[in-house]
Amino acid sequence: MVFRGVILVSAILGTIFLAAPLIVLFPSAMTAGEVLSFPPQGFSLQWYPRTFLEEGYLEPFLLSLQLAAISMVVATFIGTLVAIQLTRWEQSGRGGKFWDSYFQLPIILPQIALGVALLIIFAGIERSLGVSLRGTYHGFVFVHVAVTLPYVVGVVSGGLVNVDINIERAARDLGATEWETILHVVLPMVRPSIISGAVLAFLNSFDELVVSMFLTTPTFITLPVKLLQQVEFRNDPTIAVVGTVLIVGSVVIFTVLNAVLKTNVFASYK
Amino acid sequence: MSTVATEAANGGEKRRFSMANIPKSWLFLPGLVWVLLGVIVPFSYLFLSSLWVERTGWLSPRDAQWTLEHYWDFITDPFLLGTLVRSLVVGFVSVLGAFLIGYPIAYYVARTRSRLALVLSTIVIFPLMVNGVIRSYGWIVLLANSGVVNESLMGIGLIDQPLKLLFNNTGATIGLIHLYTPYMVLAVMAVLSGVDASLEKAAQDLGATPFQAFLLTTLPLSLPGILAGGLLVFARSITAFTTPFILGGGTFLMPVLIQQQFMTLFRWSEGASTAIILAIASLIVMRMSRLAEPRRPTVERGA
Repeated sequence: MVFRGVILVSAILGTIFLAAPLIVLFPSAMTAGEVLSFPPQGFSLQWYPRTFLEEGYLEPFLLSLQLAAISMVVATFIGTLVAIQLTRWEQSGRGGKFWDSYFQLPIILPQIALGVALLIIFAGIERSLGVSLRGTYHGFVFVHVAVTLPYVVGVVSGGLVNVDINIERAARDLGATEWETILHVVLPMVRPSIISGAVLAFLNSFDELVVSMFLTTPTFITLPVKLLQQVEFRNDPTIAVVGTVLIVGSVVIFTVLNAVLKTNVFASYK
Repeated sequence: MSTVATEAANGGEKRRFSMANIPKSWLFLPGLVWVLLGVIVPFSYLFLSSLWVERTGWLSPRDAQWTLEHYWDFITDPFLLGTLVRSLVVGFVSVLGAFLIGYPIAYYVARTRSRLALVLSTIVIFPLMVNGVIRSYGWIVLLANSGVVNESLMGIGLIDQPLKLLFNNTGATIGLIHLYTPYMVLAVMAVLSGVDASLEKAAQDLGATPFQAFLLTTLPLSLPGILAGGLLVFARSITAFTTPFILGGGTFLMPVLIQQQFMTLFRWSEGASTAIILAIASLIVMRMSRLAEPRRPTVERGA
């Protein structure tokens, strides 16, 4: 059983490797000292209020929350419509593959390339039309929706494939119109997928860094961008504090989701 | 509803979610336009701007002077070429690391029905939800000269000087491996679920040791998954920005170079060409990854 043993040990070591950078943030954040150090000097939660109230992380945090919420709503709405259309076409045999790839483009193409491309375009529009786009709500929502749309389309499409045609047919038999069938029959059946897609959109917008970083201005800074800026300078535990808050937040969101939807949301997160 | 009647008259085709009689196909238009304006148009413009004589900022195509010099520079300039090569090498090493670390995890979780397997699989997926900056920061805490790893190794007495694991190629690579191992695990798990576990038992019955049995049956059969996962990890590693930027110090990989060209050096046209080259390379690799995926039985349409 040596082989089995080796596999088990390797698997556990590998998992520790994956968890280590996240776990190590917790003791680092709860230090009583002034500087980031390991081992941490004493235990204290002092940095938690300090980070948000004194060190300027609260604004970016709230900004990211707002952007993520708006993007989630828009992306889920548009993405669900797309998913319905695509699934429909795939089932009747019309070029599904092309459109699948089309709507995955925002995440297949390198983010860094997309970021600079948008920088050029935004700069150009600002110059020629006098409209400001960088560092604005509308500019950022536009970009965030574009970048999170593929997740919604992917997850909801996956759920739609399993919808039983007969239920839908029965509704039509009973006199429901097209739209009514979609709204009251189909959508409720894929509600878990839609909710999963919405959460994915939210998280991806909240964590969005690479594209956002090119469109940021001194007055409009999202949390990930702020973190990136601070990583180079700070040797205090503030980043670790923010990190632990985000980790715990994600765990809570996913646990609640799993319980509410009674499905394994992890399965769709890729 | 005449359509339902005609369907019934035709004996009712067994199609799923078919509303082929739908007159409106406008549902996906908002999404289509959004992606068009948000991705396609910017990228087209990016491509155009890589063909101009160096010009930072906006330029109308009418006023441009066209040239291929930026692409030519990539082949001739040692710095640019070196960056490309470095990205490829780091990519390969990341795939190797992701495989060595990820395969045992995938094998254990796929083959065992224990609570531990469930815990492991959850821990593996979980980092994907965490911000890239945070994950890199965790590595800073671990790998710094006075960080966890070095302090422990020196404490045990294995080394007297801290290992320089951070702000160089090594740090960036470790970070990338950490970032993308979960994808490898998922890909391998997917393919292993289709590999018959009894093949190994059969091989053992025929006299092989457990390790040989694995090596000669399961491993080759899981190759498509390894390939698909590996190519995916490679594509993501060469395009990753955050982790190499934070952990790599001054080391230049393609995405970091692009950021520099746009934000520091102000050579936008050159940066555009770098970005396009990177995009093409990653698209090719991702396409290869898709092709390498093992064929899954698809749901049959029709009877």
